[in-house]
Amino acid sequence: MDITSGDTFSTINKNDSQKRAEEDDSEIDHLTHLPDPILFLILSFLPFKQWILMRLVSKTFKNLWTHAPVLDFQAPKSRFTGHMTCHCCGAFHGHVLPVECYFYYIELPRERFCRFVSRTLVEHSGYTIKVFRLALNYHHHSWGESMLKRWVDFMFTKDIENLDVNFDESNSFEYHESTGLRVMQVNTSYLYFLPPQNFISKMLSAMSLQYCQFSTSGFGTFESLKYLCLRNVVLLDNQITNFLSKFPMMLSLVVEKCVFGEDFFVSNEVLTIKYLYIFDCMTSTWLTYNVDVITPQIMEFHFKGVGLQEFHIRNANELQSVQIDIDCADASQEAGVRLSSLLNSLHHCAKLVLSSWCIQVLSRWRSGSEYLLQFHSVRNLELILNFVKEEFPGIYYLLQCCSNLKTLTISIDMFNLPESVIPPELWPEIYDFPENNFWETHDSAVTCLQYSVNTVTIYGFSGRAVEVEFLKFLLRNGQALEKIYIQEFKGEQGDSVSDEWWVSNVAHIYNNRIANAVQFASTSVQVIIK
Amino acid sequence: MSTSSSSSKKIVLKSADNETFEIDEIVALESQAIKNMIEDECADNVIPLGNIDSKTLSKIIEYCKKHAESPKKDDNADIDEKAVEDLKSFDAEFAKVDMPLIQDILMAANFLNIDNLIGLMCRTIADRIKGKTPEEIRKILNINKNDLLSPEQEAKAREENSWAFD
Repeated sequence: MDITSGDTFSTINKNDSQKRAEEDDSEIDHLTHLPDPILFLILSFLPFKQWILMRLVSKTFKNLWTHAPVLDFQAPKSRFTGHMTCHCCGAFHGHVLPVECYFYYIELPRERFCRFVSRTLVEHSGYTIKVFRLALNYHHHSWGESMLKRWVDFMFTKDIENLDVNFDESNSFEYHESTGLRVMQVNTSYLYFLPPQNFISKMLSAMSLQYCQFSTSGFGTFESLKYLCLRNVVLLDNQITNFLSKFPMMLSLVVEKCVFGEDFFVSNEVLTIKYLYIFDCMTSTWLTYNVDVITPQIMEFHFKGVGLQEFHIRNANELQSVQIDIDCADASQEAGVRLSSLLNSLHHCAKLVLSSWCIQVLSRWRSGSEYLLQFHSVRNLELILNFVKEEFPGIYYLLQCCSNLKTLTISIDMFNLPESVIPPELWPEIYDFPENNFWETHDSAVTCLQYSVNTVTIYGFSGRAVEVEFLKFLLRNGQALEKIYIQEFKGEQGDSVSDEWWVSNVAHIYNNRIANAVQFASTSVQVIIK
Repeated sequence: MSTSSSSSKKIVLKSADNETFEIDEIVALESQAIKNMIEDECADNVIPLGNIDSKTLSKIIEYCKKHAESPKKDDNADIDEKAVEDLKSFDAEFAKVDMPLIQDILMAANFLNIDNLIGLMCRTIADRIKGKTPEEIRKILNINKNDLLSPEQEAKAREENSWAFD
């Protein structure tokens, strides 16, 4: 290609600086004069694959590669989609690839990928790498343990700030259900076993690992690591205390769909972690496990799971945000007592988010109607629910508990939540009320409505009679109310399922106010429809 | 050419081709480099910019004026969305210039240390080469022939990268 032709691309300004005058007669592009950080900034707006392509464009871009601040290696996916004419032999293949073509579609790109990664790692200058990503599918191929070991050594020992490694991006844990019990069967044999590594870089600040198994016992200390995120990882450590001792600076731990021992999260030593998120984890044989930790510095705690065993978060005096999302069939008294005791230990939090199960179980199994959880610190309460009868006593109960509440958020999700956790034939006495007049019969002094709740937001409002009744209840009792935001229910295509009648329903309440049919408790309240 | 408005303090910039631009100090402060000069009191009445021509400089001043007028993000958490949208569409219009001028602006913005403008120009360059072949990119960026890979180097690099592009 003749790049000297075409004056339209000329960037030369004849009166320009000395620097350019020093150059020879050839045309000059400014890019070569820009400092590397600027060139990397340009590249940062491009997909990483094009980064690789840029190595062909010019020496400047090729040389940049050795100190790239981002390395993002995604193992190639097979271009064989089945039922297609083979690019390799020209024949038509159904599902199965003949051996020669398998090599062409699967093995060859993978081998080239391996060579590319290995060479890039060898050639890398040792400049700080801000992000290192690697994704491959370990259990489908033989990757060569010694080669993977070299890559893993690079990951942990070089100056990398953020590490994001997925050893099996196309996989998920296998589990089966047997006669009414959801039993997880996790086959760990195909999971990559992270080889021990004594020396850990002191630059590493955040690490995300997926689909592997490891024990920290063979590892050195991650002295600078602050954020750890583990997904689909089998933790072979016995105890959170031992585990965290390798991460002395850790602020935040996310474990999602991980497997650990039943008592992994049980410890009587103080843990200094600030953010703890446990989502859908399990033991090797069961979906619940014990949690009992002492975390005086914890600020955020989120839990998502299918049940509760022993569960205590102790000394949590700095808590800001708590989210408990449990979805299970067990609405026994035992579960209720466990949940009450857990929430009791979290009572310092300022923001509390609870799922439908929690709301139902709480109201059913609180120990006596006089007993209230002391949620005096809670300023924001969010309830994610179906807004059905079984939840009403729980909602009312929680409003009584949160005596200093300022904002209440009700997220109604009619499709994605479980139905009643208690079969109707076993409904306790507290459900013995007509659905539509629960709120009408509960006009009584609720402290937070009288003094503190100033904002209520209702998402997924679809104009059902119970929802309108609740709205009226708020308007009758919310003396401190300033704003009620209502966002209408959206169907899957984003269309409004509930047509306009609910809007007119709300308007109707407004008109009633003028007619004094609904006595508004607050003189300044506004109902705002989003 | 001069740009004048209220009675606020003025700064005069002089381009490589000796054109002077009088601008409000607040506009000049968009440039971290000029801001430092002013703070260190090493800015005379006229700041000479020996490596920026007048065409580039007037574009840069246009950009700085607009951004100096707009409310800053950190001033107020909920600045109105209209102002943000307005600035976005200004940026999009601003970037509709030819590649030589983009590169000139990028060089100058880097020299003057105007972060937002550097980002805008880098993104613009990236958008123009996204999805293009190496040959097309060389043409778009007007790569210096001294900077080209030898045929052997290019063949080798092609082979090394083949897994990503087959």
